[in-house]
Amino acid sequence: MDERAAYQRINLLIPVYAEEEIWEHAKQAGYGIEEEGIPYQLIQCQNPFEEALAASQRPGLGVALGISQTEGIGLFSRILKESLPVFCIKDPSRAQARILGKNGARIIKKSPFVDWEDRDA
Amino acid sequence: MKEYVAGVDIGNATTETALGELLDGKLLRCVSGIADTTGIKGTRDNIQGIIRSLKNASEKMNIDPEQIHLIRINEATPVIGDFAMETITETIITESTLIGHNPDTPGGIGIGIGRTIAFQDLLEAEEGQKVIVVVPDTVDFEMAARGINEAVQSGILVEGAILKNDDGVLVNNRLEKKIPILDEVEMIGKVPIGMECAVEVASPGGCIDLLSNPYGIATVFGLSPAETKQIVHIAKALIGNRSAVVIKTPAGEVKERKIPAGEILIQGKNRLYKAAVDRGAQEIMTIVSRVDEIQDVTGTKGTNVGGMLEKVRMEMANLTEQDYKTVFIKDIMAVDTIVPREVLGNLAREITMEKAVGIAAMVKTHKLHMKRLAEQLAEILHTRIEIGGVEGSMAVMGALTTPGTEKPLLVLDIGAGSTDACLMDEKGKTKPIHLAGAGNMVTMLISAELGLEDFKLAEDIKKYPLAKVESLYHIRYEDGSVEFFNEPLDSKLFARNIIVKPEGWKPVNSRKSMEKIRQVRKEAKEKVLIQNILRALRKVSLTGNINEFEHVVLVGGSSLDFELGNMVTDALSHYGIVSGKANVRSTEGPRNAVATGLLFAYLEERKHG
Repeated sequence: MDERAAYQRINLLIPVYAEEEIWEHAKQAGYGIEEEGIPYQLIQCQNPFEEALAASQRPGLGVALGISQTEGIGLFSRILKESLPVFCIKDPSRAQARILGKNGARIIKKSPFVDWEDRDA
Repeated sequence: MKEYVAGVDIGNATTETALGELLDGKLLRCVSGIADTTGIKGTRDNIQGIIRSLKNASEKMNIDPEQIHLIRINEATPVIGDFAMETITETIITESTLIGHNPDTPGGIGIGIGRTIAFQDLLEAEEGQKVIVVVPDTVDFEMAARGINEAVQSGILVEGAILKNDDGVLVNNRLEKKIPILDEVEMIGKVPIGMECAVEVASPGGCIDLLSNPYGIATVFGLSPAETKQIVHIAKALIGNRSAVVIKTPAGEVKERKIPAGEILIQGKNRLYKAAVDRGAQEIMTIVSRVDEIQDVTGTKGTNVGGMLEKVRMEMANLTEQDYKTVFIKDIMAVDTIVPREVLGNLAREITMEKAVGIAAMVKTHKLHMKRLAEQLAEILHTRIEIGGVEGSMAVMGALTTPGTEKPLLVLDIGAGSTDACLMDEKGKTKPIHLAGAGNMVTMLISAELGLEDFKLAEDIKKYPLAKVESLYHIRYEDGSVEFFNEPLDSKLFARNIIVKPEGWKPVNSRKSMEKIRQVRKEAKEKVLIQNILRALRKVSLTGNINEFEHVVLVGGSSLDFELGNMVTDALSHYGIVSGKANVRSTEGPRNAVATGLLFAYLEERKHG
């Protein structure tokens, strides 16, 4: 595979950046993305929100999730001009993490978002 | 000396005022007032609305309402409409089962046929046995996938799966052998175990092929011609789905039951006409058109239509304090429609399209009540109140203030409850008529055909154009034009259809496409309003020939509808008729015609002593 093809393949997915301590939530977000039929990748890092914001601005699908113990879970997308998450939940349940993963995929599919406000674990 | 005279028109939705400042019988200036009608038109409850409307006009004239010397109210023979939906078919499932729902993300692809088996019993199935596994919500996707893989490894032929959770894709991605999976089945506990079953999932963007075809179902279950006839309704309910399950139980059956819809009995001047509701709207309307002058309409006792017509009569009797026996239904309008209804005995809220007839009825009550209303108003405002001319005639008088109009003129007033027409000939003689079926019936059809529970939402769909939020920064209107925004839009609206109301957007929480909603809206207006306009023209015409009219002017709040004007112009242009919205007093548009007519009629009377 040439370098260009590899670059495109890597970027045609939704990256989920997460701290090790909150890895279960990252897995749930991934399942949400997977159920919607979009490829994803879980990446462990120290500053998930920064990484997710940067990833969402790069070429590719333009959607990324950041999950940290202190900041919660944030869904970033190139569709927003501001450097803010489309959604952010401070203290998410596992069910909410999965829904935010779904919503990330739904930005790409242009489907209405799933309401996460009333869902808990 | 200056005097102030007001014309007040009590409509079904709004109460409008035309307030004139007169000097020696000559009009110096005129202002308009408007307020929502309180209570049902023609009843005492209207007084609050009248006062608000007068206040609104008085403020513009810089006077107190008490300074008004004379108030003229329209002789509103209260024309009150009501409507009901009569479903004439009903699909019922007894024991036998279909699950034809469209989860967002079913898993796998293809067709699987086997006997249903509970997940916990899967490994107990015999080697080589074809099964469809039923997975409850207590089993997560990893456990489900592991269980199915183990079963397949031990020689059990797992052909498909039915899941309660929204995990179809997740399970499928973890299977060694891919199978069709239907998920989000709400009432999983109701799925019968040990029965023959077929699961079908189509590719994304596609529709199921086998289970929406009666012969396909017959092939799967080896049905006889008689049994195949029975399952036609299953196939019908599954058309257009991406995924479906059909389970055959020995004692079960699915049938389309015809609901006894009853007959409408129309009393003409000389004889009684009967129209069977289940024969459809066209037949009812053909019979209605044969009746010269409807004296009263009743329905077969014990049926929906009978109940609905009696309800209208009772309500009107109570509201107008009239004897029940003296309230007569003077017109009805019927419209064929197809409504989505939940299948009785369903497992996942499956719906099927049932035939229905929408019926609007109209009642005329006594004028006596208006006198009482006038007396009460006079007491409150300490002003002289007169009951002015007939509503239709006044509407023509008001419409004639539109630049470019002259007698003879036909005025159409499409209200909320009734459609009124009035013809004024060269000599000023008028012929008014009132017909059942108007704006509210359009709302009912929209609400029923789109399966909306919120009547206000249907009302908004009727009134305003649609758009789709395509990104967080732009929307596409139903005419294809696009608008961009600097600030991000509400994420709750993302990818949704919205109603573009002047005061803000409202999301349409329906899975129907914008094109479908628009089509339903336009067809409802066509079926009720345009057809009623043509009916009104035929009735007003001396010869029954629509072509005899040259000019038709639309007045009333409904003519402010964003697309109705063009629809009417288009429909009437086929008959060589020029039609358009009125512009009362060159300033008011189609509003205020009756109120203005009341004021101008007074001026005419003064002029001629």
